[in-house]
Amino acid sequence: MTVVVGPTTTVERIRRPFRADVHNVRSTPTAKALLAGSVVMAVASCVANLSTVADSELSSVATIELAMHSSTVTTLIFSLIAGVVSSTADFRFGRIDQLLLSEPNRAVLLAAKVMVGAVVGVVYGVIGSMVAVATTASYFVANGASLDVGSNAVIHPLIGLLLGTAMFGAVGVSVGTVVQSQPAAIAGSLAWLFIVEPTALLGLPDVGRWLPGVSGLALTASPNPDLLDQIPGGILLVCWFVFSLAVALMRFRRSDF
Amino acid sequence: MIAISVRSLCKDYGTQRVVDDISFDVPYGAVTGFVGANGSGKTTTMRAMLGLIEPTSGHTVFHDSSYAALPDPRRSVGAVVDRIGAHPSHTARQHLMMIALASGVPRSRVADCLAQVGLGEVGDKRLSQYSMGMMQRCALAAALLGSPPILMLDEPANGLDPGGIRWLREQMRGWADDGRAVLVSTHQLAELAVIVDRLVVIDRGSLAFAGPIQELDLTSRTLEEAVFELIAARSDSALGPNRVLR
Repeated sequence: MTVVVGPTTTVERIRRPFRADVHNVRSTPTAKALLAGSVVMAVASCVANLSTVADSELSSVATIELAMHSSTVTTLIFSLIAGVVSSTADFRFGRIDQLLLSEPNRAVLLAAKVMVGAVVGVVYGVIGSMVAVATTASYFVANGASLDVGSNAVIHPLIGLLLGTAMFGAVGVSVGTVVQSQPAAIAGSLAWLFIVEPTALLGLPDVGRWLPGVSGLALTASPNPDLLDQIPGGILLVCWFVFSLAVALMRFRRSDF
Repeated sequence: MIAISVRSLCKDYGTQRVVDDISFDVPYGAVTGFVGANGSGKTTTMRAMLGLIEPTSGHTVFHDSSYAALPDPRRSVGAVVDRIGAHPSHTARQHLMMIALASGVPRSRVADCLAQVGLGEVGDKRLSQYSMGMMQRCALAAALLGSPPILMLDEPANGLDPGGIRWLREQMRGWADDGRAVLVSTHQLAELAVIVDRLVVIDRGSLAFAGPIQELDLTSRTLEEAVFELIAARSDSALGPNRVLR
């Protein structure tokens, strides 16, 4: 009987499925299509919002915030969906069998998948930031204005976007692990973000501002006065992430495949 | 020497008991057939043994520990489960690479295993373009990645053409002759009769027989007839289909 020496540390144990999941994300067309969709939608949303502003007001702080906000919201949503898709694809195509046969410890496997979700989110955040700045600057230049890239109106939303997309990507993996059905998880996430949370924020702002999607908006320094400030928004989003991870772990441990 | 030891394995889904108190051993150096009709509980049992399904009670020991406690599971146990578990847009090479990365197996094993199962020249074709037989060979390659001493194969001949089945039989015999433990499930006994050393027969979730085939007295009947007689004898007893728990 061959003596088998396994991975000696938890870090090594997480590293293996992490690398496998990165390989999955990189080698499937869905991830690339979603990223392309995110860029297109961020540009379109930014231009559509800027086109409603008079040329004389282009360089105002409020306009810059609006431009940043329109791009960051789109990127946040796509990073969440990317996390959902990466996670539910494992269940949809039965890849979870192969991952569990390689790493039977479900907590370790989930940790690796959540980290991949966060990394994918950061990639979305970096690209989304570049798209937001490039689109806004181009629009400003085309309309005779200029964008101060170093201003707080630009920097604060972009820092929030990087952190927010990492969290949204990770939350997406948790949501996908809980729901497991890909169509249901995507439809549920979009319904939550486009119907439940906006309705709650409009009807009951004291409740709505504490919801996860809205806390993501707060983290990206959204100009909406009903939201929490950027740092409390970020802390609240971390709490939502921890909550989603706990539920996902519970569900994953109890699932039969 | 015992490679796999299953003890009192039970699995309930709601009030339905689909695997009922199953115990058997699988030794090294032998091909052990795991047979039963469709829906008799073979796949559930194998998945429960591998930890993909949480058993209601009972346990499985591989050499000296549970699957979850094996230090490097893929290097100890290679499994073909009932679905290949691959993204259809992946090529066989990409699929095996994913498994190699997840299990810490050297990447060079991917090409070795593809060649071993006869997919060396089509390893870069998308799995969605594979025939069922090619998918089965890919699943076998995945099981062999870690060069494990124990192989668990759930219906590995599904989709294989007659030449493929013959190839598979020779492979299984060769693995056992090399000292590996091979547990192979099937509902087609003819596939197994030629090479099997031991048999585990499962009927409606419970064990009908476990032991060397010599115990089945095959002097005047085929293996298939012996198994059917075993199951028929049980049908006459009080057991109903998949017992309902109270």
